[in-house]
Amino acid sequence: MTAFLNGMGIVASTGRGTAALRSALQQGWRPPNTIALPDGRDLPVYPLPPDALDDKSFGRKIRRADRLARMAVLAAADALRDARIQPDPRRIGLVVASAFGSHATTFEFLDEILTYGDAEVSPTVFSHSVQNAAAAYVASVLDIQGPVMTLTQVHFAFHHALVLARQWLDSGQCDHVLVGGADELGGVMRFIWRSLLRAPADGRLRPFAFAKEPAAIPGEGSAFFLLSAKPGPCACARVELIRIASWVPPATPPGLHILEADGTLGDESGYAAPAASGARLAAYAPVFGSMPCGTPLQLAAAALMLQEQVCFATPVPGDSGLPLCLATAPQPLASIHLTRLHCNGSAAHIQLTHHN
Amino acid sequence: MAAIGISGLGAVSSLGNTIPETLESFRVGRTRPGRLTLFESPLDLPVFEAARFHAEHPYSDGHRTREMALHAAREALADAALDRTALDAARVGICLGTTVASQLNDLAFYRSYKTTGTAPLAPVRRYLKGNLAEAVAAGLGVRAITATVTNACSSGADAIAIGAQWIEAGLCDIVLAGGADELNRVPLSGFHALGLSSPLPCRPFDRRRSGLNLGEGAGVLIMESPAHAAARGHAPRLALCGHGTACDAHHLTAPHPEGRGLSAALERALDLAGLRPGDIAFVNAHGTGTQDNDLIEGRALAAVFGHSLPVLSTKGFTGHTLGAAGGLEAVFTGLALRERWLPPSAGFEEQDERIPITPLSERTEICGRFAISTSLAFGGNNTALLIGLTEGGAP
Repeated sequence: MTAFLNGMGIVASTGRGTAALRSALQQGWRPPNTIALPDGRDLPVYPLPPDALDDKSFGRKIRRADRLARMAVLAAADALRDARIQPDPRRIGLVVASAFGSHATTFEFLDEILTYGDAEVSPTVFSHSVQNAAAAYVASVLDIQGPVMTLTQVHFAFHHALVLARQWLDSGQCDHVLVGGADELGGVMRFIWRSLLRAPADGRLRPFAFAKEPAAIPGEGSAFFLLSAKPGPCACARVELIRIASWVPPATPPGLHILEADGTLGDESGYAAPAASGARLAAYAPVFGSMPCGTPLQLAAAALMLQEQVCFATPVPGDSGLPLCLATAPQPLASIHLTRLHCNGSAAHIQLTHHN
Repeated sequence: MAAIGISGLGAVSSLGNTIPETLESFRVGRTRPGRLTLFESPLDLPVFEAARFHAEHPYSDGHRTREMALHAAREALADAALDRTALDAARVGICLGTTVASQLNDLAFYRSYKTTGTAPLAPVRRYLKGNLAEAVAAGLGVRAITATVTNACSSGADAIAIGAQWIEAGLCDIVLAGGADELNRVPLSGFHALGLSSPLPCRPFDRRRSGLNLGEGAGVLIMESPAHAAARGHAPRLALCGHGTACDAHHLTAPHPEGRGLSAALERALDLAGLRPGDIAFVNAHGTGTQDNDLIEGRALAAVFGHSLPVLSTKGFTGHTLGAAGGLEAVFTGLALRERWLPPSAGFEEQDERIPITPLSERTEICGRFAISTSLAFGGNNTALLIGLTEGGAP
C-alpha cells in the first residue's frame, strides 16, 4: 500500500525547518566549517548552526535531553506541526533510525567511569546513553502511545525504519507513523572521521566521481516525516517503494534520481550502475555533508522538490558527462527515486511520487 | 494475523549453551548468580555469566555478543532442520536486538583518546563491522536483509515482532530473530548508579526484592512463513500467534504508574491472535526484581488476566540479559509450551501485598496451548509476544 507523506521537519547544517532547507538547496554548495581536533589536525565539517537547537517551547520536558534527543524532538515536532494533524495518541507510532546513536553521551558516560569511578557515575548520563533515549523523548513530548522503535546500524537504518512504518500503516496498527533519522557529530566521532576517511582538499564532496577512495566531510542532523495511511491537508508526496536488495533499475525512469554518494562508502564506484539508469541525476550530500544515515535529509530534499514542483541543481556536478540536474528551476516532477549503496554490494531504494 | 511458524529455538545463557542444557538447568533449579569474572570492576554485584559458553567457546577481539548470537542462531537453524542450501534458496531476514553491541563503549579506546588526543582504531573498525544482525549474517554466510533493534530491554522481543512483520508483509520466507547481549562494565555501573542493582540474588515479584542482577546470553527463534514450511514438508510445533507493542509516553526510566503501555501491548497481542485472556495458559513476565517494574507489571497483568493466571519470571535463573532478554524469554516460553511444564519463578518466596499476582513457587504442569512473554524497557517500551502450540504440536 501507499503511505502518504503528510509533514516533515528538519534540523541540519542548513538550519531548522523547510524554509532553511529550501534556501540551502537554492544556494547550492557552501564551504564546510573547519574544526581543530585535540591532536592538532583540522577537520572540515557540516555542523548544526549554533542556534539550531535553541527552543524553549517544550519547557522542562527536554531540559535534560542530550543533543541527539533534542535534535530528534525538534525535527519530529516540526513534522507533526507541518502536517496539521492531531493524531489519536494510541494510533501513532514512531521509528527512529541512527547510524551511531547516542555515541556522544556514551563517551560522556565512559568519561564518568574514568573520572569518578564505576560506583560514582551519573545515572542521568547513563540513562541518556541508552540508544532509545531520543525516541523516548520524542514519544514523551509528543504523546506517542503506539509502537516506538529505535534502529541503530551504520547501513540502511532509515530504510528499515521506513519499511517498518509502512508495515504498521498497512496492517492497520497505526494511522500515522513519525519516522526519521538523527545523527550527531560528537568530539570523539570527529576524531574517528578524521582518522578513517579522507577529507577533500577543496571542501567539495564529489558524488559523481564514483571514486574508489572517496573523500568525506561529516555532517549531522535530523529529519522526520509523518507518514499516514490517508493524505492529510498538507500531503506532499507518496512513498511508493522501499526496497533493500541489489541494484534494480526503476521500472519507469523517475523525474529525478538522487544518488546518495557522500563519501561514507569505502568505494563509490558501484554508483556508476544506478547513474546509468537514464534518469536525470542529482546528489545533495555536498549541502548536508556525509552521513551514513543521511537518507532522511536527502528524502526531505526530494519531498520539498515534489511539493514545490521545482528541481534544485545538483550542488557539485563535476565533469562526469552524466545527465545531471544543473539548474534550479520549476518543472513538473512526478516521481523521485533515491538510491543508497552498502559496502556489501546491496542497494536501498526509495521512490516518492507527487501527491496533488 | 495468521500464525507464523516457529521452526527452531536456540539459547545461550548462564543456564547453558544449548536448549537441552537450558532445560536441564530449569529442571534442577540452577539459579545462583556468581561473582564477576569477565572483567575488572570495583562493584561487588552478583551476575549471571554464561560461564559454560566462555569455557567452551573462547572468543577473541571483543565480539562476545556476536559469538553468543551466532551460537544460538546455529542451534536454532539445526533445530529447524534448515541447512545452508535451504537458506541460500530462501529470502532470509535477520533481526536482532541488543544494547551493548550497538555502542562504541570501549573504555581503553576512550582512555587513550582522552589522555593523548588519539587512539588505536581497532575497536572502531570492530564496531563498524560488528553490527549484530549483519555480523550474524556474515558469520552464517547467508545473504539476508538485516536490522538491529536498539530498544533497550525490549530489543529482543521487538526484533521478533519486526521479523514476524517481515514475513507477514511477504518480504521474507525465513527470519532469524531474537536478541543478544554480553555483560559489560557500562551497564553494570549504569544500573548501579540508577539504584536498580541488587547486591543479592534477585527476587522478582517478591516482597523483599531489592533490584536486578545483570546477565548475558542470546536467544534466537527461527520463524518461517506457512508457505515455506509447507513447501519443505515441515510442520512447526510452535507459532507466533500475536504481538503487541505500545509506549508509555511517560518517562525515560520509569514505567507508567498505571501500566498503560503494557496493557495496550497485551490487548494488541491478544487481538491479533484472536484470543481472549482466558485462553492464555501462563505469562513469562519481564519481572526484573526492581520495585517499580514488578509492581506495575504485576498490576497490569492482573488487570488483564485476573489474579490466578500462572506467572513466572525467569530472571531469577538468568539475570536481566538486557537486549537478549526478550529473545531468551520467548525461547523459554516456547520451550515450556513444548515441554508442558514450567519451573518455579526463581527468587519468589514472599507475596508483596501490593502486587495482585502470585508467581509460581513450584514446578507446574501447563494446561493450555497459548502463552505470553512480556518485555518492558527504558523509554517506556512494552512488548508482548503471544506464542502458541500449533495443532500439530499439541500433545
